[in-house]
Amino acid sequence: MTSAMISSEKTAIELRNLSVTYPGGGKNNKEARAVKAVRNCSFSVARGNIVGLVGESGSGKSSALMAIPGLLPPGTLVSGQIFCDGEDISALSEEALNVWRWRRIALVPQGAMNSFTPHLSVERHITEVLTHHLGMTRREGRGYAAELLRTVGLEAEGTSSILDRYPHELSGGQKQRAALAAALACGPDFLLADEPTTALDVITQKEVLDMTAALVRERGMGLLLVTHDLPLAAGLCDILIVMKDGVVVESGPSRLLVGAPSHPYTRRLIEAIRSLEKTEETRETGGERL
Amino acid sequence: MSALIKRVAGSLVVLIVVLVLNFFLFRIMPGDPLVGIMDPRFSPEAKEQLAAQWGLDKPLAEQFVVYLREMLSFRFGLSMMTSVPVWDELKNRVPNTVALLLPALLLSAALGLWLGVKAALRRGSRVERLVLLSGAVSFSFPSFFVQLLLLLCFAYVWPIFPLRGTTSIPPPEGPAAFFDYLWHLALPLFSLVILSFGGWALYIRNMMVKALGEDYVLMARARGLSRRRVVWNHAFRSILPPVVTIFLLSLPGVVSGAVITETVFSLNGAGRFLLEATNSHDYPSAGAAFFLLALLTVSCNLLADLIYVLVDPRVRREGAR
Repeated sequence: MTSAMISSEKTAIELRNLSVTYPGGGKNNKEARAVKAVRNCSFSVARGNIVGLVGESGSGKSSALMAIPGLLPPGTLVSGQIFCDGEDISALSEEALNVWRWRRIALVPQGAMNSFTPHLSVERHITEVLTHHLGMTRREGRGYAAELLRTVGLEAEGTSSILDRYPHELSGGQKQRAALAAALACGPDFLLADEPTTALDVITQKEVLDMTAALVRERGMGLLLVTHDLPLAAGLCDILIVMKDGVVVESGPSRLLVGAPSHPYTRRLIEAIRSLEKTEETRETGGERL
Repeated sequence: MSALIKRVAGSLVVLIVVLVLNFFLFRIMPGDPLVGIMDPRFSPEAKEQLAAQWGLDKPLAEQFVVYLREMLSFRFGLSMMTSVPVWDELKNRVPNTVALLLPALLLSAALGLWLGVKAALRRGSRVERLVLLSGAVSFSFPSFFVQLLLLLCFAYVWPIFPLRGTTSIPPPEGPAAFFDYLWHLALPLFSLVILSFGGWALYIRNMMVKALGEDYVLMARARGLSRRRVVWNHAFRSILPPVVTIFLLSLPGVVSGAVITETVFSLNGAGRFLLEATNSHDYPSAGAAFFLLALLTVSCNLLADLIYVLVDPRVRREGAR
């Protein structure tokens, strides 16, 4: 199966035959060195849906995700179409894309650690987009930024102090929450999350993802979650899309896909997880006997 | 605050060490300061009289006390070469050096910054190739060679600019004097700019290439901010603290480099004065020139520390704690 479902009436983002190729480094034999990261990939994410894009490292998940807001490295060859609410945004210039970025499509990056500009405070990160996109004053922006931080559960730490902190003064969990708050600032229709909790411990990971899912549902946004963690995605997402070697191999409602996978790769992935769980279980019961 | 006091105290210690070394190093150096100012046919009695006149017959400790008093009061004593107060000599020459070096430094840094940022944004373009080439020229050619070449081309073969001096002889009067002065400074200024903008451009380009590849710059783009804001507020702003530091720290080096430029173009500046004073063992003049150079170095270091705090809010925050 190379193309996933497209819910036409409320589709927010739709990828049609998307291919992403990173050019080779050498001058000679460029074709041979070029890496085709995504091949004729088609899927869509509707508002109100949480879609998980899963697969092993190097399967092309992040490339597909970053192609949506046009953030692939310069020189990357992109073919196919990307529609947002029916409008083809794949061929737009950087300037034209800026109208879509953050206002309509926001990004929660892979490992928020380095995604904050080091010399700007949390407040500046949020108010900058509010003043730029929504025309708020800095004072109005500060008030709204404080509200956003409360929404993502940073109020317990004292919102004003978090607002005035610099990225290096935040913990990993705080940074990830602040990144989510910043992503929500302009009320986007669509959230792209690229392995958003990779660098966090398991408990914080769950907290952040649960909160993200709750906010997405509450605000009726669409969420595309890229992760290599299939059990996590299965528990959180409405729809799962499995990628391997740049190709979508299978997609469907999470329960159905995990319960009865049709593609051998998906089956292998699920069996691997089950065997891992069994090993863990045996180890635990063995430990109890001892 | 305590860190600032420590830095100021450290700077004062450096200045004291320079003052002491300045005094003893010139006296250890081989050569007689009186040779430069007396006729070789002078009798030994006349030489002794001359030594007494300049206070060179006194014990070293007593000379040191006089030296310290003169230096710390910024009077610097009389020049042994010209018998004019060193302060007056410097007063005539320092403006010429500042008029040459300050625009040269500002122009080369501004041009280097602009080209460096352009080169980083347009990888593989002509601008980047120009930056790499000019950087290589800056670091490969000795300044006197380029300056002599410029003199040869633009003052001798095509006499567009004057061959030597700060003013024409006889000097013109009225507004013409100002333009005559600019005309004399133009070629040295141009030489300094072409010799140093490449280094700046290469430095800025390398730092900007690194900054533009950072995740936070990608995220600034993802936020839909304008290109200008992404480049200047996020990427350039992050490299600003080291750029400001390097700018200030390069200032004393540029002043030292004035020795060569002023000598090649025969300009009446402080750099040439420093060279002539050292060559002729003019203790008061050389001591004053080196002391002022040390003062400039220490002040620039201190200023770099202070400005670093201003341009990097993270350091400001740490300092407040």
